[in-house]
Amino acid sequence: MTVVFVIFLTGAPLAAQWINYRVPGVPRTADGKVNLSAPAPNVPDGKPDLSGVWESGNQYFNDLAKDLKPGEVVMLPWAKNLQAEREGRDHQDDPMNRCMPPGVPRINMTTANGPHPLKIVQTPTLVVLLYETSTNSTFRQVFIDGRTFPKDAQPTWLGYSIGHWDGGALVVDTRGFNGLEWVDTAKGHPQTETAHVTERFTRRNFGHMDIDITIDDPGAYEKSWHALVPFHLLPDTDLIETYCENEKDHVHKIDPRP
Amino acid sequence: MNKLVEKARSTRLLVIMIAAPTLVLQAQWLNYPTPGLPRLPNGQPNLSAPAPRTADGKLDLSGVWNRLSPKYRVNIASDLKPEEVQPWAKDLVRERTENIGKDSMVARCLPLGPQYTTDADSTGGGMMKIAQTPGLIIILNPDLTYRQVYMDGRPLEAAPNPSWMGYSVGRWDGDTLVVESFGFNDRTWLDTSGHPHTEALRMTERYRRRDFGHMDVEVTLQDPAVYARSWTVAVKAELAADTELLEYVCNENTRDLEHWVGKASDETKSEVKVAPEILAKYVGTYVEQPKLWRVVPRVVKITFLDGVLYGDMDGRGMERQFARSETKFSGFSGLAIEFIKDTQGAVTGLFVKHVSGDYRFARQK
Repeated sequence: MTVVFVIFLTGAPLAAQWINYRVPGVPRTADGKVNLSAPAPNVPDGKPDLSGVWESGNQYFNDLAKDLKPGEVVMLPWAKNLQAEREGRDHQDDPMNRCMPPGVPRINMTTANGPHPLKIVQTPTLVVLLYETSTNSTFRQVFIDGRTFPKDAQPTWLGYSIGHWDGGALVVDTRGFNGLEWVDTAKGHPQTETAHVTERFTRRNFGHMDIDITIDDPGAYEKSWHALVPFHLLPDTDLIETYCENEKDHVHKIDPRP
Repeated sequence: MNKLVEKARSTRLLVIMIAAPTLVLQAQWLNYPTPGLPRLPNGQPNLSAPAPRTADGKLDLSGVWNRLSPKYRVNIASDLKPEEVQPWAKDLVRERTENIGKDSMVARCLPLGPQYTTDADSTGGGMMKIAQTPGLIIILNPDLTYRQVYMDGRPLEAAPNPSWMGYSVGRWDGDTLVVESFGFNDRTWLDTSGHPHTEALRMTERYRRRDFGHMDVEVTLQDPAVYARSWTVAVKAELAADTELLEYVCNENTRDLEHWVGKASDETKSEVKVAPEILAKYVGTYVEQPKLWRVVPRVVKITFLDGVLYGDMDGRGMERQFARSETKFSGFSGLAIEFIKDTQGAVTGLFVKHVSGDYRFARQK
């Protein structure tokens, strides 16, 4: 997979402190390690507690549809052409090469020469998703205070996210994209301003979580499609700061290998 | 109002650059009623209601806030004596000011680091959102940067790898949240004038929410390699009720950096001569009408000293005004001033001219 190495040379992560800090208040096995198969925790009001530092399963950043069968992702003709062009050009046109934020849902799966995890911070009315990403450290706010989508929202990279609890799952709906986002990296699946992304966060146990992602984007796809992405907890560590500094150098980025 | 928020961050700098960003965007949820906000019978937020508390009895600092620190935003060292700042640092400030801030974090789309705390002029630009949990407090900025303040008792490390945002731990001292930070890189500026700091910088912030709508923040800075003593500056924060942060992606707007040219001293080159007796007539206090968006309207004070006209908005400091005509002046934090006269020639007010429009200030009697 050559593509991953082509981009993201700029976001040189500085090693942070506390990346080996023993986090208090988590279940541990007899040898002191975090017990990743302990039951999923709850917050005091009984809702699932999604807090933690999470890393996505491999390669979904490159191809969100990698587990899907042919025919599950049906692009409109223009979208199919654009996707083929992006893939053929080794994603040189990727907005992340210009230090733009990855869109949603792509931001959850960010990897580049190693994973870039996300951190979930949960309050009763707001869930904050903190991201390392391979370009800039960034955050999303998920409002779970009952508000509905804004009308005529100004388009953004990360959209407007509202969430609600559905049994054991946090269901996050996001709209209001600017249409410049890519769904993934090597494939470059398009995303348009009509996209409605649903992320269903389910913490299976202490160390494992799934995000079931549904992309409903009639501007680019004949029908909605979804991908189930597994995440695992990164115990006793934290995010590393990453900022993109050399935006103007992206034109010089080429694969250095033969 | 929010169209001004990010623009204002740059207003100290050249207007040419500020004109580019797409900040006139009006997003939604900017007028969404903040849930849980105490309200007066007329529905307006009751900003003098008691400060809220969390389930465990701590003060709850959560919310969207506008920081206000016009004086220290421009000059973090304004309360220090000149001899308390290292000569090399003073030279660097002069150079950065003369270069109209083109190497600043804002111009280069990099994080402000420690400067977020005091980056807060009276036009806007100091918005932050605090999300509080028992073990972690998050501070979110509109430019998509964030800080994590660990409340789980961990100490700061002795030799952390330098970072843009530093490392922060917090604790409660009664009703005051005390945040200590260390481990900043030495590339950020402490203010818009360009006061530098080293990797040895230590910052202590003391947050005290007086009531629902008001918070006092004391920021103590310590960096002996540059400043002879530690010192404390005051920042006020007003709750931004019924609104939200709006995504701002600085890197979308960097293509115009090559047009960020010129020197601060260029202002003198095209200055026109205006008779002292005319300049003297402009002296006075001017109050914004209608006020922009804050609880308190902005105020411009015009003074005339030794033949030179100065303007000061909200205590940012006296800035020399360069005449472009008998009534128009430049040099006002990158903005322009135009005085308004009535039919008898009496000065009745002024416009502060900004890329987003003209703001009218009435002269106080």
